[in-house]
Amino acid sequence: MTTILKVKDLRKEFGGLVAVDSVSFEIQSGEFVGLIGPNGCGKSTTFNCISGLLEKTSGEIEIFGQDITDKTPDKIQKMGLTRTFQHTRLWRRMTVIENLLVPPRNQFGNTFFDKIKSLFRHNIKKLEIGLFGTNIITIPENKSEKNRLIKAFDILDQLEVPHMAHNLTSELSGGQSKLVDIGRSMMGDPKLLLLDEPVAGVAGPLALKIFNNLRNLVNETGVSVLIIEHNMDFILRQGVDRIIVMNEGGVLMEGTPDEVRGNREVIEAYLGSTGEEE
Amino acid sequence: MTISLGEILRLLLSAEPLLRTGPTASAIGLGSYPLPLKDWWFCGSQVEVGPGSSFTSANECRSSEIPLDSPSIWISDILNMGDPAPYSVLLALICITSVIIVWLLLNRVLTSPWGRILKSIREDEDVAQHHGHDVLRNKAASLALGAAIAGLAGILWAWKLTGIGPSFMSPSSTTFLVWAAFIIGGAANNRGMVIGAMIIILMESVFNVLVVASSPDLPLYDTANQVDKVFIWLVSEQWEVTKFCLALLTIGLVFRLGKLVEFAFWGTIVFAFTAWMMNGERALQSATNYAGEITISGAGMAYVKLLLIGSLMLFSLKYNPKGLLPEVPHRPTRPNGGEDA
Ligand SMILES: Nc1ncnc2c1ncn2[C@@H]1O[C@H](COP(=O)(O)OP(=O)(O)OP(=O)(O)O)[C@@H](O)[C@H]1O
Ligand SMILES: [Mg+2]
Repeated sequence: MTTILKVKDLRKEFGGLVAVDSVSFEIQSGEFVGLIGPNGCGKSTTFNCISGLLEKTSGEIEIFGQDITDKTPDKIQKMGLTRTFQHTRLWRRMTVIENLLVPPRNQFGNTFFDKIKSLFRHNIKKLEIGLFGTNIITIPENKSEKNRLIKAFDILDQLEVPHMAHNLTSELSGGQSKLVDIGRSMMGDPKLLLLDEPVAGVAGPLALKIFNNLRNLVNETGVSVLIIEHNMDFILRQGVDRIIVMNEGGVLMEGTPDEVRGNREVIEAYLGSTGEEE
Repeated sequence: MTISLGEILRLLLSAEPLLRTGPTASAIGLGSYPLPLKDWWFCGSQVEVGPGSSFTSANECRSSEIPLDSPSIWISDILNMGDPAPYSVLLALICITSVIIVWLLLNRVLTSPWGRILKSIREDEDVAQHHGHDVLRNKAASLALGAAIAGLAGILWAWKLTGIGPSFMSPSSTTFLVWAAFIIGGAANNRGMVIGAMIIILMESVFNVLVVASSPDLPLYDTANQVDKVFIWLVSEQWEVTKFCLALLTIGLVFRLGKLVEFAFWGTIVFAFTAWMMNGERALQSATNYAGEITISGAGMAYVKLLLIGSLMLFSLKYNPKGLLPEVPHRPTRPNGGEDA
């Protein structure tokens, strides 16, 4: 077990408003961690600071032992972090499958020649261009593009939306957009996945399945997942290793689901209403 | 960004002494540069062109008494033109070939990994950056590709004009037209772009002919005159316009037409104010002739062109915002035989 994400005394101010105040936590490799807290307590802001979208006011953030101050989001993604946004932001005038094909790493190859080749030789079937039955040019299939496509369709299968592959993402329903967003974030082979309410608005059974799939993903590939989720049923019962509870910009407590359930402070601060529903 | 950079470059280059090598060395711009394949086009491959030969230049070949065995003669025989085919025919052929090549290249790039990354940056560059793509680099690369294509077009254009100067590129005759072409034809669609460009260029040449001819029996001549007259009336007879606006205001108030009242109210104020400022004098003093009449020569056909293109763009944006041919998204199908890959 190595520490993959280390946040220490993170502070973020918006003008006069302190959104996040001395938040510290760590995520180990292969951990499935939940992040909960009432609305406006600074969860998304913490994500934004980690992923490089916002500049932190003070504090330290280390990913894979490297400080990420002054790193742009694309550099941070290349280090192995992928995040989703709370308000799903898909590329709307592109198809679902195109959306999934953008994040994969190293799509152009390394050498200059590979890069030029990736512009023109990206067909997934052998292309034979000819006149009157003779072949003039044969363009062989591109293996890596084919593999990317296969992977994308597999992920759509898992998320139960393969029939939407060729729709524009602007045509998707809210829940379907969430699913495609999760799929897109998995296409980049992250080592650390930050998911901001990924299953809000997804129907119960499918949301359960997504939690199970995430659990399996963690077990099989050893990625770490940090997930923000308001639904206590999922966060307390669906195989999350550890929960970080935030309140009013700070960390209230950390612990296993059982510890969190037993903590009176948490129940008062957050579970109050949702806790009774269970 | 792109436009301002281009403008900076243009100003810098217009100070460059190497580019002042026209017929008169002090003039900015280039001229009398050699045209590609011109000798071959008029003289064929058999005839030597040069100081020692009987033909010293391609123009001599063209006007030669005995028809030479040259491509321009072949084409003119096929098309029954009589004279040797002009050099612009060869240029047209070169242009069509380049359009086809650029078309094929761009279509290929559009569905490539880079193409979809550029599209994702167009849609939401924050998210594209969060998925590991350097926005600035990709934008710069696409700018470079676009500039390369524009450069190619510039070469063809320079060959057509046989001389160029920085003043040939005015925004209303270039940038604006390109923009109009893709709004009308359909952005992000190569076919739409070509169709849009054709519409615009056809309109251009029709109107250029009209401007030059500018005689009363041409279509739209009257319209142009009317527009001119209305404009002259608006700027020179402000008190009349104010009265007209007041009349409109009354009509609006009587019939309770909110929009008309608003329009007429502001019209009254603006024109009354300008009329007061001008002290009742005619605004177009400098354009009046000795008899105090305002004259505009040539019935402003050039403006009718811009007016038409502008309204075409407006209608296109309002009723068909995606253009004639909208973008076609890429829909790769699931590859079969996935297991072995
Ligand atoms: N860009 C911003 N500018 C100004 N204030 C902001 C900005 N983003 C967030 N805030 C403020 O920071 C605080 C924390 O917001 P944040 O989005 O992190 O909450 P959250 O924990 O994700 O809540 P929720 O559960 O509703 O998503 C809020 O008070 C919010 O108003
Ligand atoms: Mg949030």
